[in-house]
This record gives sequence, C-alpha cells and structure tokens, in this order.
Amino acid sequence: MSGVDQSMSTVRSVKQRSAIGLAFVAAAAVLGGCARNAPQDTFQPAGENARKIQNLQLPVFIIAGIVGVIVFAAIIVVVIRFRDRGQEMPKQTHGRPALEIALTIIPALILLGVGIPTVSTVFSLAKTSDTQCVVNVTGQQWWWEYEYPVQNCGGVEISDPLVTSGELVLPTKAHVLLRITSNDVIHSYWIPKLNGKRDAVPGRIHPLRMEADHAGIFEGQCTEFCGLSHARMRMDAVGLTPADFGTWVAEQLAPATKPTDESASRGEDTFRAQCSRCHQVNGLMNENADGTNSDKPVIAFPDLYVVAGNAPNLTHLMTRTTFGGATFDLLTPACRKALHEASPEAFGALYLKGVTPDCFNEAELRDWVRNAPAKKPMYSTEADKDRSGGKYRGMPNLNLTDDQIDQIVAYLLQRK
Amino acid sequence: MFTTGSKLFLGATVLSIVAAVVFGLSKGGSVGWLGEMGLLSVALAFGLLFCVNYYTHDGNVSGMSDNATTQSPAAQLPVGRSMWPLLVAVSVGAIAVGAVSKPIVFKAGVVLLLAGGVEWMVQGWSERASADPAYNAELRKRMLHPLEFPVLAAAGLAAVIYSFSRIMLWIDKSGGPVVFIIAGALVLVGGFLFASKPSLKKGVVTGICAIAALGLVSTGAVMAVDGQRPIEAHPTTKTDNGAACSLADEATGADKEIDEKGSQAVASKAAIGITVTLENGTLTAHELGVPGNQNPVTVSRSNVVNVIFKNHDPEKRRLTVNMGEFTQDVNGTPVKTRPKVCTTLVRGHDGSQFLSFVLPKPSIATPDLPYSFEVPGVPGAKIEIKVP
Repeated sequence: MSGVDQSMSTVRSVKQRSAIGLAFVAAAAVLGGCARNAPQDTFQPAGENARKIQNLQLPVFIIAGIVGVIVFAAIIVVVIRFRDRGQEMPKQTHGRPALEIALTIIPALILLGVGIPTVSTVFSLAKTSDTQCVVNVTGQQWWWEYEYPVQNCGGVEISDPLVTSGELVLPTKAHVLLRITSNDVIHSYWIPKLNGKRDAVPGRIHPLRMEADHAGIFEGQCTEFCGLSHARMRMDAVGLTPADFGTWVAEQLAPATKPTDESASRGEDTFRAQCSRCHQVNGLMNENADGTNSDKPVIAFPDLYVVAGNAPNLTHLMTRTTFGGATFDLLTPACRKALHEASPEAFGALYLKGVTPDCFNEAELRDWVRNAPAKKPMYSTEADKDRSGGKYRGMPNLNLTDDQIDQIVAYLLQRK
Repeated sequence: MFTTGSKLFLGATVLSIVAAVVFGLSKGGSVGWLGEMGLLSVALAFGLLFCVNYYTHDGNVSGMSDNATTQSPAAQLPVGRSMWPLLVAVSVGAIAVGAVSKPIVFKAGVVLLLAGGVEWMVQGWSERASADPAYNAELRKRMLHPLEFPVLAAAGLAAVIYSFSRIMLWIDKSGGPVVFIIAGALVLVGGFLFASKPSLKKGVVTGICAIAALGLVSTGAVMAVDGQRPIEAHPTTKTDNGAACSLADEATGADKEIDEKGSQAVASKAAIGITVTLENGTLTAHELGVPGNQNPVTVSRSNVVNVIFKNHDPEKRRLTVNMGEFTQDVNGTPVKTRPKVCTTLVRGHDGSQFLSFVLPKPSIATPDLPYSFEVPGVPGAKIEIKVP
C-alpha cells in the first residue's frame, strides 16, 4: 500500500471512530432522557403548577413533533424525487391562491391552538390570590436561604419568623408562595417537579407558587450562571404533611440547645471565636469575663465579610440533610437512600429525626470545616477578597487545627 | 535621484527615529522603552516603504521612455483644486487655538488634521495613479468611500441627535411630548409624501432635507447656547441618627436632601417589595404577592427593601424606618446610636414617595428598640419589621 493510500485509510478510520463516538454520545443523551427515577425530571410533576406546565407542554410537544416530522418528510421527498437528473426544466408558474391561503390559515390555526392554552396557563401559573403560606427565598453565592414570616402557613401557626437554608420545607397540599430575590448576582430558582423556573434578581421580588402533592424530597438547582460554583448551588424542597410541618416549625423556633459534652462545649467556644462572625446561631450567648455566658446574644455580622451580607443560620443545622448549598450530604449514603426512597407515609417521621449520630456523614462535614474552598470552589482567598471590594464570595479557609475541627463538628452535631 | 514618494517615506522614517529618541529620553523607564520600540518599528516600516519606492521609482515609467512625455502620470495635466490643504490649515489653526483655550478644540483639530491628511495623501496619490483621470477618480472612491460614508453618516446622525436633544432639554417639560409627536409626525408625513411621489426631482428632495437638517442643527445650536431648562432636583430620602426623621415638620432641612442615586432609584421604583399606606391615622403594609396586609412585616437580612409610601392623610407626612439601637465604640466610649432612614415630607391626600433600606442584622440584635415603620406625628401609626 502506498503512503497516500495509507493516509487515506487512516483518515477514514479516524472518521469512522469519530462517527461511532458521536453516535454513542447522542444515544446516551437520548436514553438519559428516558430515566424513570431522575431526581430533576420535569416530566414527573408532583405539584399543581408543575402539572399545569406538563399538561401544556405535552400536547404542544406532540403538535410540534407532528409538524416537524411532516416538514422534514416533505423536504426529504422533494429532495429525492425531484432531484436533478438532467431532465428539462418544468413549467414555471406564479401564485396559487388556494394553496397560499391554506398554508396561511393552517399555521395560524395551529398557533391559535397552541397560543390559547399557553396564555391561559401563564395566567394560571401567575395566580397568587389563593396563597396559603409565604416563604421569602433569597439566593446568594452559592446557597439559598428561606425565611418564613409570621403567619398561618397551611394551617400551622408561625408565631415568630424563622430562617433556614438549603432545604425549603413546605406543608403538602398547600399553596405556598415563594417571594424570590437575590443578595448579590442573578440566580434562578427551579424545582422541576414542583414548578418552572424563576429568576432571583437583586432588588426585585419575583413571586412563584408551589405545591407538593405528597411528602418527600424534590431536588432542584440554580439555573442561571452565577459564578464559580453555580453547578454546586442546589436546593431541595421538602414536603411534609401539615402535622409534620407543625412539628418542624416548633423545632425551628426553639433556640439553640446548650452543648452536652466537653468536646461540643469547647466547640461552642471555637465556634464563637471563628464562625460566629458570619454564621448566626440563635441562642448562642456572649461570654462574660469570667467565662460564664452573658445575657447578650452573639450577633453575626456577615455584612462586613461577605459580598452577599449573609451566611447560613446554623441554629438547627442537623435538622437538615444537606449543607454547603444543598450540595453535600449530612447523612451517610445509606441513610440518605433510605430517606429519599421512603414512602410518603413514612417520610415525615424519618425526616424529622434529623441527623442522628449513626447517620451522620462526619467525614463530609469535617472536610468542609477543614477547607471549604477546596471542596467547593469559591472566591474566598485574600486575593479574591481584594477583587471583590474587600469581601469574600463564599466561605474562606479558616486554617483550623485538627482539634478545633473535632470540637466544631461535635458542636454542630448537636445543632438540632 | 529620490522620487516624490521615496522622499515622503524617507522624511517619515527620519521623523519617526527622531520621535523615538525624543520620547525615549523624555519618558525613560519601561514606558519610554515601550514607546521607543513602537516608534522604531514605525520607522522600520517607513524605511522599508522608502526602499521600495526608491527602487521602483514610485512605479513610474523611466524618464528615458517615450511614454514619459506622453502617457505617464507625470505628463498629465494637473487635476482640479483640492479642499484638503485648506482643511489641514484650519486644523493646524484649531490645534494652536485649542492648545491655549479649550481641550475640545485641540482634539477636534487633531481629528480634522488626521482626516485631512489622509484625504490629501490619497487624493494626491490617486491623481497620479495612472494616465486615465476617470480611472484615477474611481480609484480614489474605492479607497476612501468605505471610510468616508460610515464616518460622515455617524457624524450626521450625531449632529441630528445632539441638536434634537438640546431642543428637548430647552423646551418646557410639558411641551416635550408635543414637540416629539410633531417631529415624528413630520418625518412620517414627509417620508410618505416622498414615497408617494416617485417623480419628485432629486434636487427637490435633497433641498427639503437639507433645509430641515439645517433648521434642526441651527435651532439645536441656539438652544444649546441658551442652556437647558431648570431641572428640579427631587428630594427623596434622608438618613440620619434620628433627629430629622423623627419630626413631622420641615424644620430640619431634611427636605432639602437630594437623592444622590437617582438613576438607581428609578430602577428600584419598578421593583417595590412593600407598599406602606397611611390612611385615617392607620399605617398598613402590603408585601408584593401576599394577599392582604401584613403586621409585622418580615424582611430578609442584608437584602435591599424597596418601599413605596402612600400618604392618604390630609397633612404632609413622612415615613420613617427605625433601624434599631446599637452601641458603637467611639474612642473607647460606648455610644448608643439609633439609625433611621426616612422619606421627606410627602404631600397629603395622594402623595407617594420611594424609600429603600437594608437591615444587615437580625431582630434579636436590637431587643430594646425593634425595627419598625412609623409616621412621626401620627400616634399609633407603627408597624414592626422582623428580620429572622
């Protein structure tokens, strides 16, 4: 075989391999859409508004699919049947009023058929007059905070505003209104199984209604590129029955408990010295000169350190199942699996147990406390700080010793 | 010997070398080196062009050739007069005047000098490009029209926009929309008439457009000289430690406060989170999207809260946000502060005003003086603000 033939053969071989590779990628992408247990599947609605979207997009998709198939088939037929075979130029005509009118009316009717239910659904999704519960949702690099104002939320009285992060807890079968905004850059809130997306824009409040049909965890993620850890800005919506939701509210309103052992007690001191500049723990008191607790609460001042002016409130960290922007698990893989796969009837009791010592994913939290930016990229070095007006974006590496990490982890494990 | 073109490039080469030396000596350091390298590169390029022109005798035929006396470019009669020397002279004058008067005149002179220089050079070159004057004229167009048309169009557009903006800023605020509508209607009607009369002579259309443009630019110039109408500075918010915001009258001067972030306020007004209304001595708050009124109001920590205050009371009133009580260390002495932010006095019956604030600390940080909305002078007109 000559050198030229060898080169041609190599080129063909590369082309074939590339085609096979592309085919595999395309097949994987198509088959990936068929997953039955995908956590963020918009085709498995679990709430009223998500179902409205589903009821609109399915017929529209079918209509668009049929139109697409007809157009492509017509193009293929025309290209093959009337291809140039050297035949004579056919007779040229100009204008066919009947055909032109038909080709105008048919698309107009199709668009009308799609447009009417679309507009109707848009107005229906925007409805907020039947709100039964309000939650203020604030996005910041790279986590979500949820605040529950004083109200009767789906039959549960909230006597004092409460705050949590990472997990949006809502009573099932209640119309919950999210008032979404941002503290720094534009984010976007999306729990695919419960509703569509809504942008979180600084200085603006965008309402979004949600309703969960049943108890369970519904996963979502930020869908507006918001910086280095955009992909790690996730969120879970947790549906609880009204009774379980009432229990959860009561837990959240309780102040922080005192540490019950020596290590956790030292952890409280370390937390006060290292973490409380940004992280609030309600009920944590300042120390008097003699080491006893004063009656003055420790007030975090993240507005001096973080661009967003906020950091997650850790008062009840261990009632959640995730941390670090709902990206890392506080539960061991087995406990997480058990919770996520629990039946709606069993879910509430399991969720309300929170993080128990036997289910505690200690290694994950320990890694985070040791060096958070190594686990989740953030603009939180000193150089980054200088570029962000003297404030961090995210959590910096606090350079804690192993002993301090042990103590803080012990302290946090008791934040229930 | 040296041809015309080679002399030009030789001169440019020498000038660049001199400039490089002068710049390097006067600036020094890394900037000096950088400039020197750049200018020497330019000198090198000009030197190369000098060599090429010298070697090819500017691309002209040899003086020994018969064609040299009949068909060579140099043998052709000089073409008509050129406006570019005049423009260059005016530019140099503008530079001189601008150097001692206004920088804008100096900059305009530099721009005109560059434009005139380029035009002059290209015209001079194209007139001698061949023995065919028509071809030479076409060559000039091909060289310069891609540059001239966009620049002239942009300049013309800028003149029209600038003139029109001066007119709009000069006339009364209420007259602005009227003028805008009339101008738009004139353009529409004029365009329609021109389009409906295709037989209209080109000269007529050009004349009408020229008169309109001249009228617009001259009117704009007159109004620019006269200056824009007085534009009222709108007072909006006042931030202080409580003195002015606690008062129900205008005694403090707080109402002279001018919004320094007016453009941001415009955007914020389109994103109201809470509407606070004073009516019959009662203050109510309505949060966007939430049915009914809320008391207390819950706002997010460190989040911008945009409020619109509506005063349905007959009297002038202001809305004040009590932002808690905090102790600050002033030279070792603890000093209590009670920060507030408030609107200026809002007229009665249907007045409204925007207010924006941020509460970076939770409510537990100020147990003795909770965050609240209140209207000074109206007892009981108060709504607590909670920050979890």
